[in-house]
Amino acid sequence: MVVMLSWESSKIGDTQLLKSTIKLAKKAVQKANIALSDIGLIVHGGVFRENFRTEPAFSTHIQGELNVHCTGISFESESCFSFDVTDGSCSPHIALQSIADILPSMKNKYALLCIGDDRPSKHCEWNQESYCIVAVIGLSGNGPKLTSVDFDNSSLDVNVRSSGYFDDGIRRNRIETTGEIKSVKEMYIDDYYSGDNQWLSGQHMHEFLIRMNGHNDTLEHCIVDRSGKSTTAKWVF
Amino acid sequence: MGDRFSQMVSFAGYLPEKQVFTKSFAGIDDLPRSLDFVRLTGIDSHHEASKDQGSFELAIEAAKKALLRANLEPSSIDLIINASVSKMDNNLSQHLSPSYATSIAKELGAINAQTFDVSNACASMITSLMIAESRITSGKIDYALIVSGEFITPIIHEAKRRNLYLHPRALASLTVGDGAAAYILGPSKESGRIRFSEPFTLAQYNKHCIGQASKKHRGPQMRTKARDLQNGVINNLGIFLQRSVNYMDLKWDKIAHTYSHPTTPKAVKKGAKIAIEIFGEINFLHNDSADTANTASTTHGVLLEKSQNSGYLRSDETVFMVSFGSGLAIMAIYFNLPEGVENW
Repeated sequence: MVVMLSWESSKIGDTQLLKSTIKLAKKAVQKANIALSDIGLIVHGGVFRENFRTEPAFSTHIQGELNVHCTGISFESESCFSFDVTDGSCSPHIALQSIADILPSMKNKYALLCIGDDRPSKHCEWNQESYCIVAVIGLSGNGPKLTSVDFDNSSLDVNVRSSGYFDDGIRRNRIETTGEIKSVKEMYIDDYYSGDNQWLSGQHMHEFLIRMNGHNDTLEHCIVDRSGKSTTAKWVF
Repeated sequence: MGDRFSQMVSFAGYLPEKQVFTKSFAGIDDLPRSLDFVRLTGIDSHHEASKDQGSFELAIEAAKKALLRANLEPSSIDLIINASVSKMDNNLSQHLSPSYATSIAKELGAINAQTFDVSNACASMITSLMIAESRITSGKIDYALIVSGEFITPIIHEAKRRNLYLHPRALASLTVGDGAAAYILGPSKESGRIRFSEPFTLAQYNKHCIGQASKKHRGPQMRTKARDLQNGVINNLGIFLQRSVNYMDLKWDKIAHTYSHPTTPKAVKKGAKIAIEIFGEINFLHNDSADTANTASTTHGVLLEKSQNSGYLRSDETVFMVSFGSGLAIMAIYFNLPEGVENW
């Protein structure tokens, strides 16, 4: 499918996602030995945004801050396309799949995978650790190859869901999570890694990237969302 | 090149019954500088969800209709992508996690479908279609349902609660309506039945339209630099269209039906003028949103449904749709209409 040519990952503050993404993106692009102008696709995966923003896509802010092809369209101009995907904690795998789907048809054959969440407001309960991940993805080259992403909805409980709502009592927006979350703990056996299902998508990817170092054959990465649904990405080194 | 391609199997649009006339909430006396909002935009009315409907219920209406027209069981669907911007329930809570598509799949009984959401403002539907088309053509899946329900008229009420003299960027909020759309894509042995333009994001305009939760009360708000955003589109549209027609290998005079994202009917006319100056007459421009307004990601599907209901569409005829989304996303799709569309 696609190759992860370089990556950067860091724990961040509750509301620093854009700033951190830009910083890590510049490092990742340099590490991949490409130019920002070589980027043709930016896909962000995550769930929570500042003040529950719905539009535009967060990735358009990444593109704008990085100044990737922020020019008018001419007959010769290069282009960059940006959009977001979301599916709870499984968002990183959905973003990778989407890049694998679309990148071959883009003129510029490099994509930025960006993962992370922002605490929507200081009034939202937030027991999460926020991480930011940026990776340069290509169609070929040196690096871990993503060979497949599978999904499993057999343990899905649709009653487990999060939403943003206005709390009339405090006159502020908050996050509400309903349903009974069945805990799934971190597991690492040989060539299989699965994180804790309480984590946000950024932490899932961060912990996986740490464990990816040192592998020289294959590694399966499973993300189980709080709702019970899961995705598994298979990487070959 | 393989011998597996994609095609549009069915589509559906849905509008809630309640119709609200623009003059009832945006009369000359309501607006700054005595604006004649109907004359300015060309929007006479829009539709609003009932008390029992939110984005989810609207999406289900369109999805069921599309499945019926495709003559497919929900269990045949391999992928469901939700493209709704609003994801708002009738109590004005915004769905966050897991994907909205997960709940939609559960409701439909699409037990074999992978599910996720795509967010690219009003261009979310066409972005999702692009992903689905690639999956089908590559042989990974057979059938994909792209669906969206937009319950966005609460931003009208938010704007009306503001003093529009002090908040002119809320004026564009008065141009929206609720609606839903769904498309089903499937495999084809014939190439070229679905084509996409190069997709562009002109991120220099990414702060020109911001949708988010209102900090003052329940529900969403939208703030737009409408004129600047429209100029961003108009200034780039001509070359975008020329590049797209060339890239997609289209013959302008052979395109049977053309749809543009209707921010307003007046704005579509401006865009059409540019296209006509470059390519010549448009065979059939479906600039038909005077009674639907801008239904965000669902606009093209809603307009296609109106065209189908009016008897304008025939099997295998060609459709060209141009999509704009805040950010600023600009992209286009071309496809052949499904077999039997005239009999739905």
